Amino acid sequence: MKRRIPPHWILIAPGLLVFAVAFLIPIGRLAVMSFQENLPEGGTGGFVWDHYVKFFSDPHYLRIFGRTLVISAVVSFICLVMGYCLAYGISRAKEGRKLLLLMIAAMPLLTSATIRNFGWIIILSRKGLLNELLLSVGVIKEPLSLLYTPTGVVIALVHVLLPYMVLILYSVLEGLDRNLESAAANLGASRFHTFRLVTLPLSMPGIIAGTLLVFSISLSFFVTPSLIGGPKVQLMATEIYNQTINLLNWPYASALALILLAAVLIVTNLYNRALSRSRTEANPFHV
Amino acid sequence: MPIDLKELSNGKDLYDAAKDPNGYAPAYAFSALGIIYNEEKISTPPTSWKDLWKDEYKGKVALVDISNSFGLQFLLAVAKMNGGGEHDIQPGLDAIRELLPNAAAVVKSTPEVGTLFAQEEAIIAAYDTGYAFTFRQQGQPIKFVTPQEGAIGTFINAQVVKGGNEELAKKFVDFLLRPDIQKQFAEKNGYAPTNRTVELSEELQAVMPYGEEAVGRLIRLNNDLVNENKAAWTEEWNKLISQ
Repeated sequence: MKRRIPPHWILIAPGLLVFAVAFLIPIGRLAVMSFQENLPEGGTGGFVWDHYVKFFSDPHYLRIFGRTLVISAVVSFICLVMGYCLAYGISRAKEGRKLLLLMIAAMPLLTSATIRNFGWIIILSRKGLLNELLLSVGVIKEPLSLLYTPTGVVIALVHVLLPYMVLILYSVLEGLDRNLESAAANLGASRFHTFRLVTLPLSMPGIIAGTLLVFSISLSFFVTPSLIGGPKVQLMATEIYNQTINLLNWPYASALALILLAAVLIVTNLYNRALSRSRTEANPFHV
Repeated sequence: MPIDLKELSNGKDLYDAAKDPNGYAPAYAFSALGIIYNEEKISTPPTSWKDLWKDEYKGKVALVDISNSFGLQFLLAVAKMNGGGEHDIQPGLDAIRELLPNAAAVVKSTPEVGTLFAQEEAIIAAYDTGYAFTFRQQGQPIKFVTPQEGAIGTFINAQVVKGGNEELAKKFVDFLLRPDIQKQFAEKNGYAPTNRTVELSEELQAVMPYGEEAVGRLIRLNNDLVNENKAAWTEEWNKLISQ
């Protein structure tokens, strides 16, 4: 009998090839470089642990790592809350309006993140639009210092990443069976209880997928912290840039990049476990 | 590759300061690091680097990051002022630590410095003559002054590379040293000429290192030491400014 290659391999092969060449091989090279010595006269030397030791023993870099994780977590949380409200509102809107509202929510994606960041510089600076508005209304007496601070970075990152969260949550909320909500109401549950016990648990896969996506993207985002944060706000992405371009210490930069990759992988793993656990919790009858 | 100045027809007219200490091609333009300030907001012009620390400028000083060459030059100037230099950067770092609360912001690039001045968030900074000239052309009321401790010079040069068309390259370097060409650099870009026969208007003279005396006082940094230590200094700087 002639053996045929299962058709799905033929479909996967091109994508897998691109993935291998554009991703696996470069990451492999980074991994190798991260263990190479950075020679003062340029070039790389033999196998050393130096760069990893340097990272884990210097509080300055650990603080950078911690700051990156905290900012990404804050951004994910704010995106989740705002995104959920938006997605819920859009999915409960009148049929005709839904698409329009969705397009409006996703419109920021049409412009590049860099351009949007320049817009934020104009809005957040001490003489910018936001401060002018707050001062004229009388909410604050002195202009707020938002540009070149972590707060400013969080605001801009939320703006950049919110569309992703909205789109993911919308598709999950739209796919929910409304009959379940009617059934709950029938059994005497208030609107709030219906939301908490039916809608929320059923949308958990969307919540986890959305926060995971936003978290991973913001963990390695470069443009926003660089433009809005400036030299004072030091995050992993900007430090990797600094080490690569300004200091030409490619081995150390490779180590930083791998540490960041490991962080994303660990978080993804934990999320996945939470995902499979909550799925069974939300569906105790395993329907 | 090294150049013999006698081979260049304009070589004899150059300031001594323009000549490269290692025998390579000379500089065809100078720019200097000094103090730039908003002349409408500051009535008494500053005279020394120390003025940047003054209380009256609190919150209005634009500080430039070490990744920018002028930020690096400023750090070295401050170190030298306090007894250090390319061999010991600590006095510079300590002084900058005192300056940080006065800073409006720490920025990396020239457009950001320009924006800070345009929005009047900063009214004084340590920056270079070439860009002070550019900001003025853009309409900002910016003046440049050389601090009494001396301006750090940037020696803009073109080098002949071995293995290329060396004869033509040397002619090009010679071309850049011609007085009429240098005059155009001064008038259009604000770069100071290295050919002492170039004559500039009074206005231009005021904003760049011109004349034997000013050019002679330009400080040339020991780039070998700088390059050796730059990585360590950058790390120290980042630790200093991170919040």
